[in-house]
Amino acid sequence: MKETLAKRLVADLMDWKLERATSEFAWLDLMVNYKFDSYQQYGPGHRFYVHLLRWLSQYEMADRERIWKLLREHLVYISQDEMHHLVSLTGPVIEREMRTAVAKQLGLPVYRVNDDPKASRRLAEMQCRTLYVGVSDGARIDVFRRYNEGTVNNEQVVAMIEISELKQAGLKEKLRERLDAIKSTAPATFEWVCLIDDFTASGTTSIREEGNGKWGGKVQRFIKEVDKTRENAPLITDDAHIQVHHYLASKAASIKVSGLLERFQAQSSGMRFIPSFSYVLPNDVVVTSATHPDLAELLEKSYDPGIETTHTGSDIALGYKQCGLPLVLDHNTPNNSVATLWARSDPKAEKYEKHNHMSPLFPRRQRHSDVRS
Amino acid sequence: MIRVPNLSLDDVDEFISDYFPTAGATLLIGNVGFSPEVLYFPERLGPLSNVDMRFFHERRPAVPAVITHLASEREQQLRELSACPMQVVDIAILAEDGAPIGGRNACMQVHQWLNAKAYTDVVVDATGMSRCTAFPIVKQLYQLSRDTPIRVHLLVADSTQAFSNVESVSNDRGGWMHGFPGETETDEFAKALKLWVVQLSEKAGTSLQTMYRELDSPEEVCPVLPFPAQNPRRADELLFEHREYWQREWFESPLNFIRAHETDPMDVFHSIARLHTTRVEALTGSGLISQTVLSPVGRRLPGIGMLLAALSYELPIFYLETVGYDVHGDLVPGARGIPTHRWHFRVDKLTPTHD
Amino acid sequence: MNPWHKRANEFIRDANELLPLISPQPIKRFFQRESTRLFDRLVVVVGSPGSGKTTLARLLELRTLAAVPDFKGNTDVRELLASLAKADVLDDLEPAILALRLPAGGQLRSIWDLPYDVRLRHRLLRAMIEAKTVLGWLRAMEDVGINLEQVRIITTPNAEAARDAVNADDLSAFRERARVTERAIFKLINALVAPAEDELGGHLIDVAYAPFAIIEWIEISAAWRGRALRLKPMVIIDDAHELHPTQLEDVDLWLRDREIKIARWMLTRIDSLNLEDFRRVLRDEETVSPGTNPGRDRVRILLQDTENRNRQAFRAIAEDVARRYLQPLAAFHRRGSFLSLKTILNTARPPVLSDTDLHILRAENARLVEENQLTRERVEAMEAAYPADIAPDVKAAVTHIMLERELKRTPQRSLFGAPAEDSSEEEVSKVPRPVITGAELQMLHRFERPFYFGFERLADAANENIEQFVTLASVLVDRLETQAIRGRPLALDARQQHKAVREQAGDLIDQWDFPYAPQVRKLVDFIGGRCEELTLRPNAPLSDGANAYGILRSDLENLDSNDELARVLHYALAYQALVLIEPYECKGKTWALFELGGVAIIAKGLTHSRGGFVEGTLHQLKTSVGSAA
Repeated sequence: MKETLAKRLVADLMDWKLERATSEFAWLDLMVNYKFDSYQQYGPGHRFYVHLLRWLSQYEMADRERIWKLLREHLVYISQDEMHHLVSLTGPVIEREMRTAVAKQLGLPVYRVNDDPKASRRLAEMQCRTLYVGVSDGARIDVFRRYNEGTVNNEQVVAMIEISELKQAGLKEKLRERLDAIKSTAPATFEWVCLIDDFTASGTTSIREEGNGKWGGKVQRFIKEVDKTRENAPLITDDAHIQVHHYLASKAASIKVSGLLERFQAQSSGMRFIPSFSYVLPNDVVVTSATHPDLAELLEKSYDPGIETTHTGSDIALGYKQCGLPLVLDHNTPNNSVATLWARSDPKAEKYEKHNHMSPLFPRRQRHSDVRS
Repeated sequence: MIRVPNLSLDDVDEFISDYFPTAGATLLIGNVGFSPEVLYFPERLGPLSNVDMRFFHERRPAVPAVITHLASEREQQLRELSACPMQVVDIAILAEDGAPIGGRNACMQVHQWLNAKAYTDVVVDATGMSRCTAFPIVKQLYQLSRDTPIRVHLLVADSTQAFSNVESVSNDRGGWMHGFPGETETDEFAKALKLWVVQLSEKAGTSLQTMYRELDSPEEVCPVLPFPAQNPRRADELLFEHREYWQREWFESPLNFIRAHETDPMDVFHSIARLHTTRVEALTGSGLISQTVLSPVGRRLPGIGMLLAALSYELPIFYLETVGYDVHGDLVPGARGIPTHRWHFRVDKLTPTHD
Repeated sequence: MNPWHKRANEFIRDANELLPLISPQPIKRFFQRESTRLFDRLVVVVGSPGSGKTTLARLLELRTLAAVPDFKGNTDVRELLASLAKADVLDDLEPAILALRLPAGGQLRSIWDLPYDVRLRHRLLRAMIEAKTVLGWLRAMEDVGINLEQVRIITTPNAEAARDAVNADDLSAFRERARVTERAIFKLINALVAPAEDELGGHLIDVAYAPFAIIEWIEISAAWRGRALRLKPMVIIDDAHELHPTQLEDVDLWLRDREIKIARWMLTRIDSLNLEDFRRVLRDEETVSPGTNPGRDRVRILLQDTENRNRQAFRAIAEDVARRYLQPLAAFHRRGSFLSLKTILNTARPPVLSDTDLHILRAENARLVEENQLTRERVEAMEAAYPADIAPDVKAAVTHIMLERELKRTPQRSLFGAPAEDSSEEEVSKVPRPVITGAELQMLHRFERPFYFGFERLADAANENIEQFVTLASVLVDRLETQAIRGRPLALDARQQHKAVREQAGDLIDQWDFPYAPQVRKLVDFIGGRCEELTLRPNAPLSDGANAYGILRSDLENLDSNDELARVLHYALAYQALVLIEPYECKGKTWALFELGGVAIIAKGLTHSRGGFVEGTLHQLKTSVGSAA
């Protein structure tokens, strides 16, 4: 759709006066070209303006100003470039943790790790014996590798938690070579593992308590995976550091993950769990009925329960687990974000409410094999 | 890639309490600024008998009385912290005709202090210091450290809530930071392509325009957007605020934006280093010369990242001097607590790494 | 490319883009004024930012002049080229001068801060200017495709030794010699700690460089453009106010020397002159130093004409600029014809007060009629004297003023309310236009009735500064583009125009960011407040009100140049927040008027016409910026 026509239609839908239209056109010009139109779930013929027009028109005239505010004043859109930048911050974060660990091991103040020959050798050794694991597609492990060319060897990076025995053997072989090259006699096992994922808003995908002392989540899956070879051909050391790194997290999730890892550590032998984040979103972006009463009220009243699935559970007008995020990621919109941003109603769903048919602004590609509840 | 030995947060305090008591004669250079963070490092170093504290008192013409008053209070507080006799020297930032001379004056003063006594370590506490004085003296000391065994430390403390109701008033003409001149001033490099890396900041529109004009319309502009930031929308809002410039006057496409952490100088350093080295590589053998020009605008910490990049890669810095301050409402002196951000850099150890 | 958003022509590098945008009238006027004296002696051009100084410099650069043949048939540019030809800048469409624009800022100024004897510092500055100019000429020629082997430097007769010293016979050696000088001084300026004077030694030899004393012409062989060309070399020192005053004095003295054969101009901003000097320039006085005759050695041209303001002339220029600037915008081409901004803005219907507001006015008038004890006939006669074209609401507002005046004028009244005699000696005179304007302004403040609409008011607000006109008008162009996007007619009603321009004016003031800007804002607020007060007096004593603050000239003499107010005024004048008009004779006294700049006038809702001022004192001005002793 031609931009000029689209803007005209938006202005008509919103019934803007001249001054307002001029200013909002300028804003749309910027954001559409710089961010929105690149959204990866869009395609030719259905990009931002098309979705915007549909999205605005589902609301009554009286409510449109309020919903426009969600877009204009609250939306947080993380573009691919921005996400890549968060990836680039990871290397220094990991290095800082390692430096602290070496200092602790040798009883030195952190600043001496560089100057002290023993400490810098230890650090070099530790960096060799580090395994970087991309825990999901979103981890963009290839981008991570590019940013850390020169410090991270290709043979230290794996793109998934499942590591076959054959693969494990191969990794250890290469590790031995690296250690030999720096004249280290340390065993060819990994003492530091970075589990890297892109985003968490609930914290539960990483780690969760499932009751009866049982745990779930990616951390747990990784431990299970390496447990398979622990007896005969361990991949990692018994007292390994497991750094759980997310590029992006909500404030609530960062607190949750940190807390859960502490508890998990208490129940695990020897290993140490370190949470870290490239960027933690501040709490004030979260939409709740207390903080954004007008908006929350509108979202609740326009809600179609037909979008719920077995995975999401019920009552997700403010997003999965009511996380209330106004967040869109360039490659997909998390379902922790307020539903109006990403949800598309299915008229065949059992709980479908026709008068609240929902059309998304940034449609979400479902990641779980969901069954509509 | 050039490595910058750095420490942050509690590691800095650990370093200070471990290293300095047994170090040799140490010179601490600071500025009598008006924010409470200015006291943080002097509190820890002042009581040591091997540390000589020397302070600039930056003088500008159009400073509201309330700020001058606060600065005087600071001066008094600093004196109380010092074990050895302390010196405070007025540094005029502007000449009578309004031209910036702060950098030159600061370097002259540092030159005198270094001639008066032999030091093993020099600490520049840039916490309350303007860029125009901090940057040149850091470069001066960096150059010195290449020829002598002197150790050079750069310390910075900052808090997120610092005086948000104080606005800087900028000069209406720009110039090269003292010691960081553009080679494009000379005939040999007059035709070099300029890549202008400029920090975007709120209400900086007029400054940006002045710099763009005085740099003679640089061929390429790379605005630096603060991301990650305390406000996740800040970068977008800055782009919107300044759209007239980058869309219409600079004709930049979004591909040319770089991002750097709002309060992490190391990230700023890395982002610029990546940009500069990639560019140099891309143009090698093409016959084209390119000069990367840096302009720090706005908050202090990202500027420090630019300084480190400028030192490491010999980059010029173009800027507008702050000629005064505008205070809106009451000046509430902040509480003295532990600053949100603390950084230490070993400037004498900026070395290229071997991959 | 939207020229409305390119803040200044200065940014346009491409001559082909630049030439059509330049309005020819100001250029024509400029060259006509001093035609024979512009290239053989020092010319100092004084103007505020946006007054066109730098555009002028860019126009004279070789890369612009070399593009002229491309415009041979172009009607848009014809007048401009004719002026240039007449001024001997062009010779049959080929360049006749080789001009280098040399910005004076930063590096040149820094020479003053070197720890050396004054005379040495002056020598360094002169050498640097000469080296940079020479190198600039060479680069400029190469940029337009001239091979240096086709170039010959013609020097004055009997200058062989000096000619050798600069290697004028061999262009590459010539360039190298200049480079050595430039490099040497560059190193000195940028050393973190400058070497002491006694350490300079060898440097000083490199720095002995003086080609200006001997160069007369640059000859280019026919290989370039088909015929041999002789160019007058020229240096244009831009932003000369950025030099230290002592430096400026020395450069002025140096370049006044008639023995120098190259053309030399200095472009400077008003505040380079301190207030005293500036006022002297306004009065066309010169300080004379021994052995010189400033009138013959130097020409001073003021780019802004504060005294003889020719509003009509500038309106014509603004119209021309608007036409040129709208050309690239598709939205303004409608079915073959081309709309003009002037037409669009002037088609707006005048605003009208709401019935409620009109009713209020009329009720007040009725009360006043009673208080004045006037008859209906009297009032009708009075109203009959108004211009025929005024609308009912304006009429009511004018009547309001006239009645208030009547009230003030009539001395005693009978205690028993007998109707006053018709003062037959009062002529029923025509009501002058300013009173009408005054009425409209009062309605603006009382009822928010739009006032700033129409092309003329926009042009008048620009203080004859093209850049200011463009900045103000750009918001209207934006709004018009929005109309186009929405498929609506290309029109803005009076309220839309007024609102846009008022908001823009406010924004511009908020964005002022230069030394002492906060104090300048305070000053503008203070003066604006007093003017508003006076304008809103019910009897409109100054008809259309005040837009200036006047102090006695003798009071102004008391201002010390070291006073903070003096500095605040410097910048206020430099950025046209205020305009200084003096001497101004009024009521038998001599005044100095600080008139608000056009942008401030709009922001405060005042008249654009000159002359109405609030009487005040220097002391009050000092207090308003918070710097009273």
